Amino acid sequence: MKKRGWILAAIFSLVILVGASAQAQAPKEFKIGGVLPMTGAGSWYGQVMSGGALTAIEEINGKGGIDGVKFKLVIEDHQSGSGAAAISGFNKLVNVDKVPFSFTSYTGPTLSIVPVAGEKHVLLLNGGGVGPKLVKAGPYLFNNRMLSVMHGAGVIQRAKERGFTKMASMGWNDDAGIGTQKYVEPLWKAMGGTVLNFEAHPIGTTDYKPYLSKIMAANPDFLALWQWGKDWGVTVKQARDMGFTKPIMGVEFTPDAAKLAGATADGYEAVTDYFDPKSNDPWSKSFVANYKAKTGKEPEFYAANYYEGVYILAELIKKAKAKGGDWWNGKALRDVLVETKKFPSVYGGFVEFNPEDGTCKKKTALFMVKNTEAVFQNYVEIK
Amino acid sequence: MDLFIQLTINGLSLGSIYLLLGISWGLIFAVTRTFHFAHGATFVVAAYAAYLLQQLGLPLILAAAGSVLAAGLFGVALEGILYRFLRKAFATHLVIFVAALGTLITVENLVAMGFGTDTKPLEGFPIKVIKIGQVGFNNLNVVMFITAGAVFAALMLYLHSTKTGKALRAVISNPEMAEVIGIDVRKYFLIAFGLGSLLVAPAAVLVTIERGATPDLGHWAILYAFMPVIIGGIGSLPGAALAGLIVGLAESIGIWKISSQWQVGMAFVVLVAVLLLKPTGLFGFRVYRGKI
Repeated sequence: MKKRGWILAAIFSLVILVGASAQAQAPKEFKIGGVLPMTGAGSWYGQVMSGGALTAIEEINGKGGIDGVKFKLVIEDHQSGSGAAAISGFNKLVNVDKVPFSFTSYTGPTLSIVPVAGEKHVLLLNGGGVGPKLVKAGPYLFNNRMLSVMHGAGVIQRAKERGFTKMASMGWNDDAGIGTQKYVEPLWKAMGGTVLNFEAHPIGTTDYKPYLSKIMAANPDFLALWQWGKDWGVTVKQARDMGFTKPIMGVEFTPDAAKLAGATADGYEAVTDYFDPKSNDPWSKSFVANYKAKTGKEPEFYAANYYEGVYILAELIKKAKAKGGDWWNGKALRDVLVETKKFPSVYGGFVEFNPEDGTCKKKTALFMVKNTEAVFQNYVEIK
Repeated sequence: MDLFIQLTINGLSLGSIYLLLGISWGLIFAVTRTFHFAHGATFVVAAYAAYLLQQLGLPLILAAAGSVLAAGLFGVALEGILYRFLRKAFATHLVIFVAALGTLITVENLVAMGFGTDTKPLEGFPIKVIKIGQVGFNNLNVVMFITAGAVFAALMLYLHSTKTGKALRAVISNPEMAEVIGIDVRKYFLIAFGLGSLLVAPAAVLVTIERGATPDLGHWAILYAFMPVIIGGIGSLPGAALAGLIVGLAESIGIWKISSQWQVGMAFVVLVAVLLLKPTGLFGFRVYRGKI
């Protein structure tokens, strides 16, 4: 009787162990996180970023998921830049939702959660933040958008081509804006240019007249904007409404900012990630159609980055699963990303990651605004 | 010198908006003594009402008129449904403040859900740039200044020349005595909320034309609504008007020789300075006694 009891206990334990390990290898759903700006001044970003990711998730889930397992996105709100909110939300994703992967956004919130991601081995993919401090920020952070310093370098290259020498600039008062200025200034001076002034302002400011007043008084050849979201549109409108006629160039184009600026945005040039919603690339076309069906709006590159991010993750999952072992965790996914490096991009072509510093290379282009649309001018090779 | 003149013109334009915010909130506060934090929600309602009416095909001038009406009705509804109910239940000032704050947050989020979070422009105002040497401004800045002056003058005329206006001043001066002499204070609370809410709508429309509307504008609006009232002196509408202009000029000229990042801080410098030197405000009184 006693011997039979031991055998039964052993069999029972074995069944539990096998069942538990099967659970670890094959989750019932691919639960992933997203730390996004869902409220506050930057909530537009949160809408388009989550819209892009959810469009991809619906496409993949609609085809049965990956081997029958579907995605689920859990979004936490960093309230348009609060590091504390980002950490709180990310801790919940890690400790309660147990996600091995999370999207992130904005430079400040991303930098806040990078240490936790490293400690808990959660793979982070940033498709929105652009600050220079995101370069080599942590072993688990990867960026599938080009960072602001690259775009800023592209802007001054273009300014040099146009024969300008005196630059004035305005930018966000954070790592992205100030970091871009710090990176670009020595390059511009090395090209023979001068920097008349740089005005830093809070993100989401709606009254730029004080800053523009000082810039107008300095009389530059052109104005460079290290701004993102709707800010460049408001700045351009207010600059033109104050009678500032010199060329304005920046690192961002967003349709709603262009609509806000209206005719005053004509002639504005931007060096930015090259996502063309009118592209003939089949994948781009299907993304645009599905995103429009879901949100009623045409996507821009933020939505594209988070859409493509889901497909990058899908690729990581397939490859990690094929390797076997305990694969549904951040370390395994990261190892596959480091090994693979290059993934198809919804922009067309590929996005290639640099595992040394977490940056990527994607198509970058110069656009000029005409009738609130960004018209492609040429690809930009950042020197 | 060009920069100083430019900043002065900017400051007058900005101060005109703060003037409208200040007198609209100041009137409500003086009459009802309610810290009407939800005045920011009225601002947002006015801005989006103008946007919506324009999207429905109305020209700008009619959309603006519609937004004034919408703001007035919203203000009356807040008093009739929310504040009156809280006062009846003997709610403390803190409870009323929290309820008002909750209303502001709720309205902003409802607007975000209904209209989205992208910036909504108001079109149809033909901007004409005016350049005098290196100094540049436009006809919208001039309209802001004229509108603020005209609205303030109309309000003062109303308060001093009409029966209702005089009754409002009586309630401001001493609500208990006003009740004793037969003035229905509850009715005039409604009038104050309606009138104060009407007065904030021109500011909402002008700001939306200049910068576009976003759901979170309410927080900005309420901050610059009560600041001129505190600086100008509670109960003094001329004080609130003057303080609005002072805050606008301070924010603009204050950064003449220092970094522009201190722009918003300048308003608080003025606030703290006034509170330290004259805690009752520029035109306030030691014992609360309103005087228009």
